Amino acid sequence: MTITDVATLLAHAHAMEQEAAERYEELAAQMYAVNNSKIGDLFTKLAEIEAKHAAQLSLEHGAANLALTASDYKWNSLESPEAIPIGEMHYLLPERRAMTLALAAEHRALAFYERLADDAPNEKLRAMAAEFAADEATHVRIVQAWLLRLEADVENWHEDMDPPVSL
Amino acid sequence: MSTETACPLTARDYKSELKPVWCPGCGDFSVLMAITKALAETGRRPEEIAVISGIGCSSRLPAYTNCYGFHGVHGRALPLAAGLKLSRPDLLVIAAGGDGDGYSIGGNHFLHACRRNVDLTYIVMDNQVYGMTKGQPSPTTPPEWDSALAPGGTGLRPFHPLVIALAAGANFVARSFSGDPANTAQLVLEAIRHPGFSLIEILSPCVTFRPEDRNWAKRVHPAAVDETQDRARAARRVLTDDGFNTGILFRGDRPPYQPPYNPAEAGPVDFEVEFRP
Ligand SMILES: Cc1ncc(C[n+]2csc(CCOP(=O)(O)OP(=O)(O)O)c2C)c(N)n1
Ligand code: SF4
Ligand SMILES: [Mg+2]
Repeated sequence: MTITDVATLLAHAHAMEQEAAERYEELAAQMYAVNNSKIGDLFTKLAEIEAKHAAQLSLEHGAANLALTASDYKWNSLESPEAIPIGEMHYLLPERRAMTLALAAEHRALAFYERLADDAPNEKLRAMAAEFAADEATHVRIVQAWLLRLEADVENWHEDMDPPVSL
Repeated sequence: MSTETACPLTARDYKSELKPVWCPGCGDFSVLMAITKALAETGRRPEEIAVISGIGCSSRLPAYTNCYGFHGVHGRALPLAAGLKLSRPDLLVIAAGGDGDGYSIGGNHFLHACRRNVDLTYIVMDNQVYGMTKGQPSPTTPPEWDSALAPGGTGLRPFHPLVIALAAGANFVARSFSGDPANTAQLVLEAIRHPGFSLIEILSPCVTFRPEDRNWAKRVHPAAVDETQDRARAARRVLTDDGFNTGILFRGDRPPYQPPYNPAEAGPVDFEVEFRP
């Protein structure tokens, strides 16, 4: 982890929310393209929530202060932690599985800030990382509560009676 | 003349309105993301760029960009791209496609594109299968891959595109993974900026016909050694690596091929000069 100042942390926080919003938009489009509009709508809603988080950060800290050049982002992972990897998608993706992926993304964001707070070289950075970790912990609880309200997915949800290769 | 100017365009400006019809989860979505990010960084406007392809799922990519594009005939992306670049050297030309398109039916064009070293960037989305035609083995498919269309596997040794590109004269060779779009974008940008023929092999899983490749994210790793300008050394490294090393592997210094006349204005006599003994 090489984030050592508040400005860099803020840029990462903004990018994380922005990229999560863009990824949900992208995933929603993938789902609409295969007529899985239930999950398309769900991802659209999650995109709006993440976009609000990004907008809030811009409002509080000024958008101009939140940008780094692409190579300056340090995520400790292949992509920003809160973005669901595209490879997790499936055209038959059911609701509970989709929300489980969203929960994993919130957990990754939480772990990112917790680790940053633990490793912070100064108190100011530690306090801000801890504040972002607390926000992510709230998001984790919200998604967990959301998951509890959902019915279980059918067991073999990914099985297709008319599969792509049917020889 | 082609120029790179500071320009506040973003990746979104290089995407078309058309939504991809790739299967959800396909690696090609991330490749599109990485290419549009890289194009934004070049500062070249969409109308100064042409993306040329053949046929395949991956070859649909030009339609999803806002640049000029040509969705050509199967296996023929490279001659189209080379012809375009020679007649319009002001354009930034990218050829894109799959392992089937580029290494099977387009294999001979691939050799000669490396040899000619025209200044263009070739992006191969290698999923080790023919995705579009429902899962036939391609030249890069592992021999033991057992599938409905190749029961028991082909038993055939896979083609080694990066080594072949090096032997045939490619001037820049890199490997990347679709699930790592930031680094992929960086490599695409480097390839575009490097003069001559640049090949980027992007491991891009086909989640429908090779769902087991979703685990490539766990197998890829940055190459343990730095890029080299020594072609033989690069070839030896690539021949002996595990196929999952990513990064720039070779950066050469061959001057790009440019005919001594302007092809757009040339007549048959100018062309003939090149073939006289
Ligand atoms: C001349 C010709 N031969 C065969 C085909 C059938 N065909 C279409 S796409 C394709 C293979 C595509 O594989 P690849 O380039 O790896 O693309 P992917 O779909 O995997 O991205 C084949 C054989 C064709 N369209 N034209
Ligand atoms: S068949 Fe494979 S390569 Fe084609 S869009 Fe689907 S996942 Fe991608
Ligand atoms: Mg293929």
